[in-house]
Amino acid sequence: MNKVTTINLNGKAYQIEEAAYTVLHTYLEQAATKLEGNPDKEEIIADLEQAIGEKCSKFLTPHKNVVSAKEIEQVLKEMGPVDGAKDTTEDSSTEGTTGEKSGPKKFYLIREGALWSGVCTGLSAYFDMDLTLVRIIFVALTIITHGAWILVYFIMSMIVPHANTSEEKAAAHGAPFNAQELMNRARENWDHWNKKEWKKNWKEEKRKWKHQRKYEERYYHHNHHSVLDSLVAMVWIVFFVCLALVISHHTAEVNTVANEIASFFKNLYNNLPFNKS
Amino acid sequence: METINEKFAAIRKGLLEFLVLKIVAADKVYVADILKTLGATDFATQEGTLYPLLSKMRREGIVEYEWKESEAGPPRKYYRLTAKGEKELEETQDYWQHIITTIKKIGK
Repeated sequence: MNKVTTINLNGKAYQIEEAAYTVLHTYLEQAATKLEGNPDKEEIIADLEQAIGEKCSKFLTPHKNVVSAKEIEQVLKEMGPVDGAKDTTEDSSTEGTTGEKSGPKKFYLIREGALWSGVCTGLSAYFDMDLTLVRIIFVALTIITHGAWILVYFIMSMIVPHANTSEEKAAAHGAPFNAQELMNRARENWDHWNKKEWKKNWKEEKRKWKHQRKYEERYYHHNHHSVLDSLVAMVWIVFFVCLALVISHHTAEVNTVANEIASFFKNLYNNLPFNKS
Repeated sequence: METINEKFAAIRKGLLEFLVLKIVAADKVYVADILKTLGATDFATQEGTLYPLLSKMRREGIVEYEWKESEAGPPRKYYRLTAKGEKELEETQDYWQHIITTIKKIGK
């Protein structure tokens, strides 16, 4: 037994399962993102909705008036990923007819599962490395560099952008971003958790995205990755260069602080249970 | 190893507009007709690709559409070539012929 939702596809009502709704919603949202900047965006989406509706009708009979999640997946598979106007030429070289294995990878900060700022989670996704290992390496680097690595860490956490949209999240893992992949991921989640928990998680995730998008729109004036973004990054870099200059004028004090940090870790290490002889 | 099919994926994609031009030039068509015609060939494509392409072609003024009532379901867009589209098709066909001749002439 599954809950059913009524949706409006280009002016016609359809009843679909809730799981089907999430998949469809993601597909259309992704289509809208891809068509961003296209003057005919609304019209193309209306066309797509109509085509989806017509494909759904094929699954409906007088005795069956609900479209299931499986059927929606079938429909979206037939529709195929939506070609963005901007990157059609770029994509054509990498995107085969069946979709590529992995998308371009980018270094992003990932908030999910992060302890502090998401630098480690981002790097572990970027290098496909174990998160704990990345953290251990970071601690080791901090000790080796007498604490200077913490500065680098903070610089990274300031200038590397956060993975906010689902597209960026996919890029952070180097995963392809298309409907098929989204459905696979949704399906995986569905299998892993029980339905109730999955739904809760999904809703939360969606709310988060929505919230982040609102935030982005408010502060970046609809201009994702705009000049403002790079300007903010530049300001941070300048700030840190100045900070580094100031620190270099007080090397003695910095050395004491670094030594203290180093000796703290040394003490910590020496006091570990397995080092006690 | 990349198969021939994979190697030509980008070329097929680039040629899609040419083929859509040819199909629309032959007869007034619905999107479903275009998909069906292409579906039987190596150029099989999907709505997700075709709708954005048709909208781009319409913006460039090489195709136009009218709404047509269908017996079952809502009215649909019925595409046809404009005068500019006819010219574009002719030029593309000439150029394509030129490319083929060049390929034949070069090397073995």
